[in-house]
Amino acid sequence: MAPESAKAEVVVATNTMIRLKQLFSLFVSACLITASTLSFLVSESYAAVLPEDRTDLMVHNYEGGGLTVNGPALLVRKSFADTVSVRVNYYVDNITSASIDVVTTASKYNEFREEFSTGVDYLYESTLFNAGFTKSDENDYNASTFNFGVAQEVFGGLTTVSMGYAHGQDIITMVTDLTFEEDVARDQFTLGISQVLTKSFILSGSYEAISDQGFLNNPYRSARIDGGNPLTINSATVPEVYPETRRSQAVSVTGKQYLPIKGTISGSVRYFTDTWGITAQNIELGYSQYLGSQSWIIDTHVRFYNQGKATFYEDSFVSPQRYMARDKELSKFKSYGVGASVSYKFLEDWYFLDKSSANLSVEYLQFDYDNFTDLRVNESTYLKPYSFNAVVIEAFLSLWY
Amino acid sequence: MARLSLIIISFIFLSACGIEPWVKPYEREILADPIMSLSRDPVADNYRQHVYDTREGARGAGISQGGGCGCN
Repeated sequence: MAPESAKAEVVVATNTMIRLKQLFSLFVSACLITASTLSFLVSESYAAVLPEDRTDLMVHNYEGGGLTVNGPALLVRKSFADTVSVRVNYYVDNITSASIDVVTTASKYNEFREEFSTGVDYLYESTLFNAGFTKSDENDYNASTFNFGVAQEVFGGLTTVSMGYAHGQDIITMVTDLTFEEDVARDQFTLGISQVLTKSFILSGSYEAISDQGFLNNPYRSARIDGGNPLTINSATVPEVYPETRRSQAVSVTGKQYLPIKGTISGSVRYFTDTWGITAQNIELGYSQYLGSQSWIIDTHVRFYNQGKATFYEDSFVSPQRYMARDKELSKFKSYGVGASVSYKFLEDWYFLDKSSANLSVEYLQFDYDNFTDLRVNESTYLKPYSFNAVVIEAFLSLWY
Repeated sequence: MARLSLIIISFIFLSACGIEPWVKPYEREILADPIMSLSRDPVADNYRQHVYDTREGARGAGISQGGGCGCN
């Protein structure tokens, strides 16, 4: 085994190379933004449209791995004078957690998270500008984010180019230590393009770079120190320590094809990498079908996600390191998802309503961890790789006006 | 990243060169159908992405990114 100092130098050198690549990518992105802005000035413009006027009221429920999260969500969007559209979102998570992290290091807890978001879209000639603000509050984590972006259709409306920026500021506290307070600053850059390729096929690409600076780990979570004996029951625990910076990049491509049987087939792939050494890929395939007189839509999808671990993640450390994580979300794992939803359209052209729909969606998720072991001593799965499944349900009503 | 940049730049130059769009506005009935939307229900899509984001190390460029079908 290489000495720890040598391993640390390798990690630093690797991180430096990755950062250089990230800076180059950000530079290329900035050039693209400038180039595309200039192209808008010289190319013929085409009319853009505001988002639809609609209200969505949803209840959601997640249950799996000892965790239950449910609550309502509301979106109200209304346009004015055909140039301005205003939206308001409200979202709640009621959390009851007895997850594997909680039962092995702490006690079951209940938590309430509330998120409020508002935004405005402004249509100026053929350019659509948007700006928004989001505030999320829970008893030990407060987050504020503002964002703005621009989108324009070019090339006869066959191409839509969009770009955006968001800045977030988070404050982290602890319910068990009232003197604890840390913060995180976050910058996000997005670039998107969608392209109509045929009368029945559309292709979309998206790129997103995110940079975090600050306290990035969970102050309650611990890493294990086993002194070289991972089978020991009473291994020591120490608070996790993460690097104070993280830069990530993700790129995705989605395609959708209409089928003559009044259905669509879609496919999506995404690749992710960050300066913590995590790489991830996911692929999703979907199929949608009209039923009856197009009042019903059935949507189905399957999704596969594969992730490598962060360089400083270990299920159990031999001895304390500079950076240590035992968050299973930073470990090597795979997840699978299969979901279906049904949507029923009704009340078309009824008083002030253009149409309405009632929707129900169910998704089954399976998570299999390669190097995150189950530490529940009284379970038959003790010290075996952890896995769990979850069921996600959404029921919502949508009104267009 | 370099390949993505090349594709995006190609589209931008194409848009500026005045090449005639090969799908005419009157041929976009299918593209305007709600079932062809890449994000038909934003509240549901945002929630689904939130479920993934809180359990996976990856983030960004997920569901409901991009959009626009040129079918107005």
